[in-house]
Amino acid sequence: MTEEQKAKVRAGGRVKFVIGFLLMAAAVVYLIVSSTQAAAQYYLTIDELAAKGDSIRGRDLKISGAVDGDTITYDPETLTLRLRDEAQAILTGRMGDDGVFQASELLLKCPTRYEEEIPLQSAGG
Amino acid sequence: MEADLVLANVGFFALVLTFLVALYGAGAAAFGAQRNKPAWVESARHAMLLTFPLLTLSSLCLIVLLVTGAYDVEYVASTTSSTMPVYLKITAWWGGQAGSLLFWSWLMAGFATAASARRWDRDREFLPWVIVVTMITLAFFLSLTVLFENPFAGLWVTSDGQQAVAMFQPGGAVPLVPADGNGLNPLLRHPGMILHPPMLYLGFVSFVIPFAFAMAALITRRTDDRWIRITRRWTLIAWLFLSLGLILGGRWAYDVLGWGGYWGWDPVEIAALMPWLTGTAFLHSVVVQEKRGILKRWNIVLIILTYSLVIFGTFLTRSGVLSSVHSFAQSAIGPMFFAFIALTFVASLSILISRWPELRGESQLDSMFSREALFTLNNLLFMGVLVVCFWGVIFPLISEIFTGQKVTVGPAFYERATGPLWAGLLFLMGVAPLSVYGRTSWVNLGRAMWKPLAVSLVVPVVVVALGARSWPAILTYWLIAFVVAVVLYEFWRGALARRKLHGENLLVALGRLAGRNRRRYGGYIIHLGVVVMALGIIGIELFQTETQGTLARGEQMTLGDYVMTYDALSVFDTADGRNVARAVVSVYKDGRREGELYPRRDYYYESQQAMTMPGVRSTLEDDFYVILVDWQPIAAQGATFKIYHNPLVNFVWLGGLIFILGTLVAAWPEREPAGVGRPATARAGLARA
Repeated sequence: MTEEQKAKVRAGGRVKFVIGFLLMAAAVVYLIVSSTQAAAQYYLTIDELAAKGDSIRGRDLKISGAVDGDTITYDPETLTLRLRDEAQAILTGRMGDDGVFQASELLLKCPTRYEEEIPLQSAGG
Repeated sequence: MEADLVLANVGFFALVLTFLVALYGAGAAAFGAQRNKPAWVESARHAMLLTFPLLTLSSLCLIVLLVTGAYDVEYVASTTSSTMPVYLKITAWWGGQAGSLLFWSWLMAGFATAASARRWDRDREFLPWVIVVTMITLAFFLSLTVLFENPFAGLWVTSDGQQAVAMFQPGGAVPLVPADGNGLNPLLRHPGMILHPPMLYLGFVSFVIPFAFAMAALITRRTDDRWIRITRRWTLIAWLFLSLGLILGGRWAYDVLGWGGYWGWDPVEIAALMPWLTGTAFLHSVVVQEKRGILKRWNIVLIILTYSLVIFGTFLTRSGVLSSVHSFAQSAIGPMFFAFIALTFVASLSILISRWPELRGESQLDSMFSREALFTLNNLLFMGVLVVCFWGVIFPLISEIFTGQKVTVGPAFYERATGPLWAGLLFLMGVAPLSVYGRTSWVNLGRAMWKPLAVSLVVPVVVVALGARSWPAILTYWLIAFVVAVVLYEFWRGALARRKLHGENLLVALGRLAGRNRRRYGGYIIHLGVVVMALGIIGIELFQTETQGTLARGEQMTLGDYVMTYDALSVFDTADGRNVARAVVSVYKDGRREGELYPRRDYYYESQQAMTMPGVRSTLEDDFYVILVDWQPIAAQGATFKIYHNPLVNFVWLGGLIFILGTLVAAWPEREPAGVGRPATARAGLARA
């Protein structure tokens, strides 16, 4: 092959590669965008949630806050809730019309072991 | 108390000394290489060799302090307590932030020493730069312990009654010696603590070595693949450690966290997954560079990415930047990590760019169906998963910066976005082994593929005939069958060829076959491990069922083919400060009694934390997984149980074991020196790698 022919072959190979790469990239972008829309959740603190008011009804949310130990009810028939006062919790779910947050998932953070740090949201309720 | 002080001071000074020695080593090596003064490089090598014994001393001091309960040392007080068994006290070395940074550093020093313990004759010019990279990395981690997170700092009470943590006595302060420590978080008090963090760290740290050699090759303008060949075994073993670390984490979560799951797409889990993705891509693409001399620049990019992701992963776990079950307290080391990653990333990319023209490929991608093209596609798919993961992890930060509102993405995002990509990778695992290098066509590939493909199609047909309707499951079963068929086909054909050529019996032929081409056949075994894991994942992800209910003593509940009766409950205190509620349940399958399970709840008095330990009946077919949710002290009203049925889940762990076997085969030292030609097999037609 002449130098010119070799260069053409090289360029041809590169074009194929570039097209293939762009197709892959497009597929990944599509997957990301569609999945983000399907699965994105607002992440709010309690104050932010209160500030949002009605606009947030019915949307999938994650709420971060501190547990108020006095208000935990204990129902042995369905679930046991053993939450420590001031423990930091993250709830996933929806805000109901009655102003009660319906949680489908509850995540408790590992308590910190290094400092006596009160989670910011529990100071002052 | 006196002894504690001595140990803490010795440990700390050893740390500081190692930090200075590492800095000296990096500087001397760079100077010696630039000015061509071998004496300086030799001095740097000695400095590097000094770091491991020094850090071993420092670590031993910490371990002794942990085991003897020296609670005047703040780290000991926060991670151990008198009720913990000795083995757990030792694991407290990596149980907290400061100690785990020391552990990371100790591993780095160890691996740097091991990497340099080789005959350097051919590659003498690499040595100084390997020292530079490893020592700079080591110095960084040591700087974090020396300046911010000192595991040897003591507890003091200042003159105005405040508690303080400091290495040296603050003016007017008095040492504080707590009567007992806080102890490890109960969730960590489990044998998993022995293996999961160390395995993960082993994986992280050992990836620094191939990165160091890559940088050395770049800087010394060596454009061949020597650096890849030297680090081949390192990369394989690093990959194995990282894989095992991830699998062990999943196993531990499954055993202990009580949500019946093993992977939650937690940001910290993803932080460990990302270097695994680039590492696996790297494992494959270096083969292409060795065989065809292309993808040189891409391989450098991949190893730079892997290194940065390793540091980034350590950063995500340590800095409190993201909300996650794993997060440790917020700390000043966040900005330090961020700066280090940014600097090393920019520096290594700059070196790559300066050498760009010299790394031109020696051939090109001729055909979309060639092996090198398929390996490139494999890399693209892994990068696709990486981009998805990275996006999911930084999305909350980005959305907060740009919209003022923090938005997160849950597991559903990752599953939807990566599902098709994993499926593509499974398919490639079947196709690529049958492909050839260089010019080829889809006809050739089809001709190589059709037999295993036809055999594999039997599986979806059978599965659908048996009543399966979930199309993701059917598709995955087919892909799994396809990969298994291809691997068996490859072993079969290779062994047959050897038998024809050498007259060996089939078993010997199989052994010699794998022995002569360890990387390839070890790789096939690893692929088998992957699809075995995929089978387990499909089982538990798509077909898990659960139920929950309250039972009085003697009553029973049903889930699928299983019936469980609640027999007894005992509540008692243990010597190590726990209150244990332990239920006894009997499990029946299809009417036949299978045995007893003991789901229990441990409540740790000192930390006021409860831990659920499920009772699990495990077979290859499924797990029957019982959690004690609640009970009444007066047993009349009964107990509440949650039951999961997890089909096929044990294939996940079995797959992990096969990984180990495959990596052993692939990494085992070969009798012939690397690079010597091997006798060709008799197989005409398809060219072999």
